[in-house]
Amino acid sequence: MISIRSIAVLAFKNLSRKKVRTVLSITGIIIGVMLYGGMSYATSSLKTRVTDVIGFLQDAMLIQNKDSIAPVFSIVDLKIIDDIDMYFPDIVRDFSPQIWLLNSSQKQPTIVLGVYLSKEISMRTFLANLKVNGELPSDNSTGWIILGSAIAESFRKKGYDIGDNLTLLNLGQTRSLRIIGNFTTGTFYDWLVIISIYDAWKLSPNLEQESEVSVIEIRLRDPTYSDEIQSFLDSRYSGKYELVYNIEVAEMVGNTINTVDKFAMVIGLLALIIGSLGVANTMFINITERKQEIGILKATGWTNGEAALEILMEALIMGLIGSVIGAGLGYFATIFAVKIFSINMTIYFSAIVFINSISAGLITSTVAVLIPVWKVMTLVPIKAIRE
Amino acid sequence: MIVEAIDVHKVYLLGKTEIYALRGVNLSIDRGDFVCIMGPSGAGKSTLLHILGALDTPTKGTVKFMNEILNNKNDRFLARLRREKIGFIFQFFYLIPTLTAKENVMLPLIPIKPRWLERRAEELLELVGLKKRMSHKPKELSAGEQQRVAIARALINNPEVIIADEPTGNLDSDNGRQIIDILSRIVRDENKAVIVATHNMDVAKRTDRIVYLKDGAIVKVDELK
Repeated sequence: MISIRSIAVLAFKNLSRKKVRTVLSITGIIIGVMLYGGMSYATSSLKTRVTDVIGFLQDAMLIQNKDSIAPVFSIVDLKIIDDIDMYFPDIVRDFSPQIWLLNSSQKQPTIVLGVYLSKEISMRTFLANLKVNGELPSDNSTGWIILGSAIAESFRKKGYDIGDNLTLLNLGQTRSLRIIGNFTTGTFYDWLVIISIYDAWKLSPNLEQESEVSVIEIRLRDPTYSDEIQSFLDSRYSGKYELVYNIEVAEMVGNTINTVDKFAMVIGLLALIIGSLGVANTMFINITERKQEIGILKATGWTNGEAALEILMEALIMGLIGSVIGAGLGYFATIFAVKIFSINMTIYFSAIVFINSISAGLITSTVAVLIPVWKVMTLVPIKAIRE
Repeated sequence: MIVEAIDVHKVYLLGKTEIYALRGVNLSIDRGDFVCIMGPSGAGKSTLLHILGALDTPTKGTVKFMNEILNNKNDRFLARLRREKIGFIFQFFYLIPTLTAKENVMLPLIPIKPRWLERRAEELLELVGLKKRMSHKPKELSAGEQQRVAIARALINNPEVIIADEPTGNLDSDNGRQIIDILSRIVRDENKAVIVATHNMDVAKRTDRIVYLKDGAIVKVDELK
């Protein structure tokens, strides 16, 4: 029965012989795992966000102009709500008319979303799901503005905070609104500002007041009716409108993040491989320097496997120390990077990412040391002693 | 019989040239034997020790260890045999610098670490007169003390035979004498077999039998007992 603990203790003592070399090798692993883990934390947090968004938009669809490339350019007649309600009673659980416009004041183009605040036409899409920091506007009130956290931060730097008035400008129309709060979703909505739909109409001379909006977001009780609603819109409005699944957009973002994730993993793995090359190099030097000593171990009865295990253990100790420190640093480095570069993202600690990072560090350290281990396995003791 | 070489030949290849290290060596070592192998450099002393100690295999001939033929045994078998039955002492001690004297003595059995290992290491260090130097590292010990640690290391597995290759070659005469005293005591008190290769006639005279090697062959055997 091999005493793993005794061999591990010996391996640790052997590593302490060349402290600088060992520390440099461990540093290589730390940097590699830190990059690998950091990228994993970033993409994992992004994925969490996208999952939230997909959940948020699960059954939401937009009615918009067929040829408009963005909601800002779309014009939809509010009559559609009554038409759909009449032809598909109890199918649509939620209508949310929205006006999208582009504010061009404060030297910062901002996407503005005008929404209804009435009990009759629900606002669940945004405010019902948002945790608004500040006061909530009352039904049908006007003159308020709620900022997404990213845009709020940007405006704060320009001296605008909760309680201040902000003047919006769109197509030559201006409107001064009081900032009453902000919200964080961790999604692209954080770059939007929300105002009352009545103020949005005032800022949109291209829209018929109180009868036209940019888009109508709808949620169906039974999503299988979407094709029928599309057919209805085609026949009723001569193909002027289309139903767009928000989830498709979210899934597209999700797929993009998956691609980024893979790319980040490749970069992280490359960093890990470079780090593990340091371990391989150290172990090559170690066994070259200690050839006679390994020969003596074998001469005194150590089997090839036991001698190889001792070398493997040295690599694993370096890999484990480097991986644990690297995985921890990766998390904090990502938070630090997000803060330094003012990225609007929350980094979540993930035990899976932490364990994956340590495993990746250990695996690459082990793979890196396979050739040195093989050299030890095949070392002929008398040749080693003679050298 | 502990170890027996029967018509042992060893040929090395140096490029395309064949080097005859041993030519038909016959030698038997029994319990309580204290045998010296003498001869000039290149006579084949170390090669013979390595073959007798299961570190090398003959090109031709047979080596028996406790009546078991070692030819064609695999590395694992030979490693176990060395761990259980053979102790080695080398000219340059080969102690691990980061380990204490006691840890160095324990080293051969570290992979299996029996319960009695530490106690036995302490007893052996006491036997070689290093009771108070157990926790010292090699650089804190004199050359003679280091070689005594190496002797204790060779004894840790309670071997049947101890093979010492120039054990006094790196020591002054006083220390050399002490080392031979210890080896003699091991032969006398514990009935072990000890095989020593040396150039030193003073050392050789302390043994029971001197085997003279020249050009890989035994040319003379002096029985001193």
